[in-house]
Amino acid sequence: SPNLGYMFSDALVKTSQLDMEPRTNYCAAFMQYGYSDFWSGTNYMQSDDIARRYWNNFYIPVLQNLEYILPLLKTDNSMATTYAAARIWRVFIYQKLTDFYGDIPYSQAGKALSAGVFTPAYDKQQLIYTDLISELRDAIRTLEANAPENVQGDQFYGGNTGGWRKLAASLLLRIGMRLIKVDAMQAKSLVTEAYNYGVMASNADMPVLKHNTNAPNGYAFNLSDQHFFLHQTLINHMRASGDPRLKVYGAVYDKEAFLGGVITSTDTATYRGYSFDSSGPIPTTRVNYSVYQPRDTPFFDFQYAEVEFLLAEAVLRGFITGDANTHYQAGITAHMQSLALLPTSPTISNAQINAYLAKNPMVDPANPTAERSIEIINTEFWVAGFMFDADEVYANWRRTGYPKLIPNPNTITGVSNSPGVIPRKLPYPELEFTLNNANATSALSAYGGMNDFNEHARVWWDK
Amino acid sequence: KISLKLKRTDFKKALKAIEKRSDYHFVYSEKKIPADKKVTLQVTNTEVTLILDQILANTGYSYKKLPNNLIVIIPAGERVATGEAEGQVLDENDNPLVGANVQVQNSSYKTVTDVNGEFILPVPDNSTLVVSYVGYITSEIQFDGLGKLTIKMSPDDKALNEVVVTALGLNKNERRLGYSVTTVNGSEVTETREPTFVNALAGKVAGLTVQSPPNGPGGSSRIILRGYSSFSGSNQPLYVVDGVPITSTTKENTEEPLKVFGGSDPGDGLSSINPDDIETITVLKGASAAALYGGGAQGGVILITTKKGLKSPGVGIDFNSNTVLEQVKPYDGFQYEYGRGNNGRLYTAADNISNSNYLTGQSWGVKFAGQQYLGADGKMGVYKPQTMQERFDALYRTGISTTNSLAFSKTTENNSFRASLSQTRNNTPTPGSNYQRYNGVLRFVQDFGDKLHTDFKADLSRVLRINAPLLRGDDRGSFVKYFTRSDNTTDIAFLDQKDANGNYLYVYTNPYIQLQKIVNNQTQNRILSSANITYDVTDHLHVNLIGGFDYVTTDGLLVNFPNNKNGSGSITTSAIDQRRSDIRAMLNYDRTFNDFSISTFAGAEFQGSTFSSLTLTGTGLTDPTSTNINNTTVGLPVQVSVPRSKSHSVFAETQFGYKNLLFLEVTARNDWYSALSSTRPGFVNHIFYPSANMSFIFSDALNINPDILSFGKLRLAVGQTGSNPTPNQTDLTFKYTETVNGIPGQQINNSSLPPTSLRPETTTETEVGTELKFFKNRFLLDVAWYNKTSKNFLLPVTLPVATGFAATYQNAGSMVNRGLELLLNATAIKTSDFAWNISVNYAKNRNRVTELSDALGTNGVAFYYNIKAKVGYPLGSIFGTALRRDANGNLLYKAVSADGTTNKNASVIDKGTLSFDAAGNPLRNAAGGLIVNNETYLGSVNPDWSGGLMNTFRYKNWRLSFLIDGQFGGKIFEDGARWAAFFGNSEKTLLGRDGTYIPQGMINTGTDAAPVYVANTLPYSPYQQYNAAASLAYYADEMSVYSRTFIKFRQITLGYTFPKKLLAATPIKSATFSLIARNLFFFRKDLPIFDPESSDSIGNGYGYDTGGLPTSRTFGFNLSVSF
Repeated sequence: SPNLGYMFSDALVKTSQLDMEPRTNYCAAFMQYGYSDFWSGTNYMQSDDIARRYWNNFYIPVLQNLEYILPLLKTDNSMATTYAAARIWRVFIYQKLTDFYGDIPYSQAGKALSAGVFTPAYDKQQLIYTDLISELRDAIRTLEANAPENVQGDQFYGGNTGGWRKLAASLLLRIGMRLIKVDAMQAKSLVTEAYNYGVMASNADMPVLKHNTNAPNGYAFNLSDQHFFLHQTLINHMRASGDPRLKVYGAVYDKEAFLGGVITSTDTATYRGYSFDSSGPIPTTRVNYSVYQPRDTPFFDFQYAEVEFLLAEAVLRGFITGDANTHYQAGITAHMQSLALLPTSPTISNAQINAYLAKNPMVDPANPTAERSIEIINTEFWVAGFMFDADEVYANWRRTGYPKLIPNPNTITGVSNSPGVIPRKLPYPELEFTLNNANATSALSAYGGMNDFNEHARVWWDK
Repeated sequence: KISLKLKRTDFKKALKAIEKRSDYHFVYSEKKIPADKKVTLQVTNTEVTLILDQILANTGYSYKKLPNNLIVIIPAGERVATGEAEGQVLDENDNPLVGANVQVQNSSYKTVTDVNGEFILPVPDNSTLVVSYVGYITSEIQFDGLGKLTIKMSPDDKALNEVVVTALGLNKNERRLGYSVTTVNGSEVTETREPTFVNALAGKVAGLTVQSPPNGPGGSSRIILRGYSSFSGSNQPLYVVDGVPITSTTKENTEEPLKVFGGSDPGDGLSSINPDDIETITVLKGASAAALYGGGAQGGVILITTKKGLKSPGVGIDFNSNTVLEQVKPYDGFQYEYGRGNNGRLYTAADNISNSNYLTGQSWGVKFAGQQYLGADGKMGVYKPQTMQERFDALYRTGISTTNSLAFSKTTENNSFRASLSQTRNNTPTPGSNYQRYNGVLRFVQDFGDKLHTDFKADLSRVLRINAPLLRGDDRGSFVKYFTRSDNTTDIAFLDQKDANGNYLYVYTNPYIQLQKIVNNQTQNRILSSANITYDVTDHLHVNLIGGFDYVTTDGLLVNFPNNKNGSGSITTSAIDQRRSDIRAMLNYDRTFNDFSISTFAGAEFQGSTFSSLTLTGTGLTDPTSTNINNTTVGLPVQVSVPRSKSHSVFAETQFGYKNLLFLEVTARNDWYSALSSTRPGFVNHIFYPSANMSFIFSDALNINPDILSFGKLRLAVGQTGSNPTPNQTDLTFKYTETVNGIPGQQINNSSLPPTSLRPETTTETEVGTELKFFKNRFLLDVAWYNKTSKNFLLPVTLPVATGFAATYQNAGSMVNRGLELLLNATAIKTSDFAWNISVNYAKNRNRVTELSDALGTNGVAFYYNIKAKVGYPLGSIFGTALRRDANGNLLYKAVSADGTTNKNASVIDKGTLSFDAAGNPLRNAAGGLIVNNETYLGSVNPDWSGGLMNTFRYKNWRLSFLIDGQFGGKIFEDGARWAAFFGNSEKTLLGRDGTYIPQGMINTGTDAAPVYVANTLPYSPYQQYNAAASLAYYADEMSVYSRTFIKFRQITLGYTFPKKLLAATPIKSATFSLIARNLFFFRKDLPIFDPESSDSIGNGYGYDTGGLPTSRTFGFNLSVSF
């Protein structure tokens, strides 16, 4: 019989070990972090081969593992905190799934073994969110009640329930802030609730999966054979803000790394990224392979910096009290410091951090409104989310509209999406219309009835 | 002197008893013996003559002793003249038949012909000599005591129709069979020299469908008997070699759900067998013929009997050599009117840059007129087409295949020995690819005394497939992606160009990357062994023990060398180890009582099989030329799979006969499967397979004039078979994954959800047939009708991944096959010098899925993309988007922009099926939008009927034969056609290119949801229809569906047997030379460009093709010499 802790550990590992192509091909392209010949996302072209991968890899094996162990953990009195941690991770995964695809199989998902459900119904995203919230509350209560008991199979906190409690609260914060457009009242109460539970307070609270070469970072695998250029949008912004992280993110290479390419320059003044304007200079600046490509590159599942940025925004929105600027600066500082965890330990000195903070205040003297500050905060969120957090940044961009991105003007015609609009929801896997047609078709009716990037394809909280 | 004790024994049996105990043979005429006399006798150590005196006393009969211990029984007073029958037995070409049996009728007294085909046998006058030889019609000659006899034997065109091999290797007189059995002589498959001999059965056996491997020589073939019997697996028959079922797992018939990815296929169990070693192939098509095999025989059974060293007394040497040239036929159906470009214009320099991923470009340019244009290389050149012939000439070579076989045999009185060695080397038309096979077979047959008979065989083989094509157009494949997905203007030589860093200028579907940067090698070693021991306890009771062991190891190496397409490169090594063992013991009893006969046996069988595979993959080659896996920097996880299974069985059969006219047979088998054992409830691990059949020789029973109807038989049979369940499906298992940060990982191991219960699949088949021979066997008609119901399908039901499992196994459905098979054999002309034989076969099969589990919903089962099973449709139906039509079936058009702007100035055929009310108005949903069905039935992949016509002419020493065969009806989903159209390459993209073709019909000027139909005035845009600015937005699946109907000139052979006189002065006994040509041309082919026989999958995904290997013709010669 299986070891439930080992299975939980496997679910945590597989979350970032499996194919991450939608994160690059779509999210990194949409968010103008980078460009590759191989990406259909640059042109907002739908590709089932890409769009389905998150769905396929999250439902199996990650959720397969979790759905198998949850009923067993529930009845095992000695594993209450593991049960709570597994529920938290299930929330983490489902939120990513529903933020990508909208309405998805949730309440009936993963029930083939236990209940013989072969064609799970799609739940409304709003209902899924409601359940995710209640799951987090339950988990937090369980963790509080059983605090001394170690979480088994814990890849993040050595079994310590405190870390999981902070992660759960931070997830609740993320969920609360997600709702600003559809239900500001609930957003406020959830953010307050989360803040009171106690969210992550330092980089040490971050869930970081330390990969090894046998269980590599799936992101690194994606990068290995592709010509990943930085996007000119990112380079322009970071050069203008004097961001010391630009040297860590990318470098000028003479050719593809796998063809033996070497760095020829880290002078950011010479960086040329990919530009939508095909008449522009030929791009030279690729992702920094020595930092992001090694198979043992750790994966930041939930950046602490994000928490601070969300809190800063929450203060400005009046959800909680506090000093927004403190949270803003803590976010930037934490992210710059967290880079040292990556291969080659890229270090941003305190002096560099302070210089950056000084140059990039939260309040724009030319436009000292709260909305402008929210733009600045979420643009920092975007810079900090480079690479691993591209999917979360994509959701955050849909939520806030920041950073302000100019869509690719050269997008193709012939699909129902008009040119030049960044897609806001991934299509469902085409196979769903073969295997679960009635449910998928019914779900699709909420998104214009077409399984593509059309103007109706927006998730519930993105109205 | 003998001792004997008899009590009220029939006279004839009394004679037999004496014969058995003495050196004497009796000769008598049936009507001239006291047959009614019952003999009671008890003698000890008495002379036979004295015993005969005693038996014949007062019967009115006497006897006479002749030389050679021959005793003739005659009515008292009749005179017996004796003589020496002397003669020579010749074959149809007047060559001596060596080892023919010459027997005095009604006597065990016999001899065999010597190396000159001659014999001398002292016999009484007026006795009848019966001369027999395998493969020839037995002839009877009256010996009148005068002169030397010359007995010319005629080959039996339906060879071995007297005694055939049936289930479990039992030889039975054909009269006794209540079901249809087809036997094919080994020589028929050797002369055609197909790399896998079973491919040569195409068009020859009614009800047998053969498709050659989709991935070249040595791959797995697709053999289907009487339509599909199962939803899962490959539907391949069980192969039994010399009584032992062999391993025949192909990549295709593994149970992996949704086998959409290609890869290497090292071939099925037949591909390693040397055709020269095959004596006969027997096809047991129906369930009652195969019922004794129980599980595993659901797809029918093919019995292969290999050669023994029997034919030639003394030492015999057979040498066979042949050489076959293979030529690939360029694809037809490509257009050469418009060249490289985009939407009716030439590419610009800017296009060349943004198009770099699309190889050279598309053929949507302007009309060829020899003008200057900007090429893919950025240089100006002459705008003219590159024909398929030119491109094929550049890529392919003439394939050459040579096979040499040498067999030694030695036969003595009590044993025979045969050793054969063979070597095949096939350099395929694809450069760098070849196929090699080496076989060594030892066969040893030994009798120990009269009662113990043994037969041992070992077949050692080694097969090398060097750079074998991968399945389904994977990167080392047919180049079909290049041919369909590049423009028709760029010189192919340009694709071989590289930049200063050695990078290819174009990577997309570049065939030179396949040829230069991918290695795909497989080595298969095999030992196929069997032992067969029989002990005759009495004349009526026999014990038989058969054991077999089949051991196959297959090593594979797949290397992608680093380049600008494959990145840092990868190496995959794999090792597959398959073992199958089989032990069977049987007890046979047969006896005749007056008019009644009984033949019965019972036995038990133990079968075990293991399949283990190990796959290692490494990426990042540090040395770009080394193929050692240690040369990689990153090892990807090792994949291991080790399913194993066992089954135990008991079986029995009894046949009752009446007057050799009527036979009734019942069989039974019970199988116990390890694969069905489970710790969970709901599983029964055994199943019972019964069958019964009847044969009635009505021509004899009704005393029909044999000059008109020489033979007439009625067959009636019903039987049941099943499939061996897949192992490791009944329980949930777990596996360890990588240890990360000191914590091991664990995962569910099952790729499919364990079902809550599982039953083996069963197939029940009823068969009615007749066999009629007219005019002294000049004309033969064999008809069989069957109704086959298969149920309890173990389906790998693909599940939405959100259920937590990608698939499950379920007893999920049933289906029915109904069919008719006809075989017509006519000897049109037969003189001593000239003979013309015509053989026609016809098979019609209708398949329909009758039931599917509710769990599958109305979506049915998707086997492979558009190939599905749904209730009420045939298994293997094509579903997808259809062209939009109005209530009267007229095509409906849609207004689109020809150039990608909002200006809707062109038309394309709309897609998606509408439903209509009684008034012919399309149905709408509540919101007012059209109800559109994108899952329309587009046809079945199964042919309506198939048939073959074989003509054989024999003139003196010459023999000419040719085979025409075909399939009629049935559809193919040709995905290659979609891409050929997408890139503007196929002929069908020409319609409307010049912008002047305005299709008649109605066009939608409104929106999709709220259409407004008016008479069309807009010109048709094939570019938008097939390409739609790269999005295939207006391409309907129906456009890829074509009729599969074809009539093919399959093969022609011309053979010459050297006359005996020419060879008299040489040690050569016989020599034959023949010329062969295969797959010459199509009389009819409905599918443009591709070969209608190709398919990505030989499993249930059959019918979906992404453009397989091009059709190839073969020409060759064959030389057989016996010493």
